[in-house]
Amino acid sequence: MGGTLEEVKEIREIVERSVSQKDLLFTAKKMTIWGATTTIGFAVTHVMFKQAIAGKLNGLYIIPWWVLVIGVSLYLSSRVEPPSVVSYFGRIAKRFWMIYFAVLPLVIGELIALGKPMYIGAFISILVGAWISLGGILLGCRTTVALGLIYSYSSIAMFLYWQYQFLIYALLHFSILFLLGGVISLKRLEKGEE
Amino acid sequence: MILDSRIRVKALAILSGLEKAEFKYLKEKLRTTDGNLSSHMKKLEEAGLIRVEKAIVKGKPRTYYSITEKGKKVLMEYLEEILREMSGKH
Repeated sequence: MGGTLEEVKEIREIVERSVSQKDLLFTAKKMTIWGATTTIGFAVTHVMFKQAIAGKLNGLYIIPWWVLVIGVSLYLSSRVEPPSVVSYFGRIAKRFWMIYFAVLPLVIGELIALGKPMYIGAFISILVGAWISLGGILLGCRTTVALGLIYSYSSIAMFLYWQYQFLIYALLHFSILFLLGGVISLKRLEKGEE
Repeated sequence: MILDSRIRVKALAILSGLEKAEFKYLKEKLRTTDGNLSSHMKKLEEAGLIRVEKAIVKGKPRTYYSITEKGKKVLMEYLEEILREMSGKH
């Protein structure tokens, strides 16, 4: 081996690239699963929420519903073949998403219990948006930062049209996680695009 | 010397940023053949620079590699040596 400055630069670039590497097929499959299940989760939550507002259902039933949604999502995710590569950044990003989905039912339940149902969506989206953006900044991923900002700004719509806040959430998860992150990524991979 | 091969240096550099990587992934990144990569990875393993983990996923065998602390140290020393040699020449 030569041992030149070019070689040192090349190795540095390899190391820099590798810290954020991910198995695209694995990521796309996971996003399809989580996008689909949480879209259904929010659509049903919307119905439950309306029933709760009308006094026909105890709003706290939303918590076990979300425990079920997350349980099913975790089970389906476990059926996906493990990734061919796991980077340190990928591991941190995974933990960010896990905390989000773990905290979600607790926050919803808490706000229902406090009797402030109209602020649930707006409150969660600001919190989660900031959380996702922070993760994106730390991991140097612009798409994640943009995703966090979309979440945060959707709080305005959720506050104004609070009766439809969970439908707005369902739309967000369907378009961002399921369509963009999952289905479109899978199609691109099938065509051999990176 | 263990790092007198470009493939071995690159394999260590790739693994230094990862928690673990599968054989197939390394083969694609290093653009090499199964046999060639196997022999290089074997040498790195024997030198204690990488760890090998074998698993059966849906009935198929999979081999994962990760870098050891010794591997990171050796790679760092290798790069420092190049830089030292270069500064000595100038």
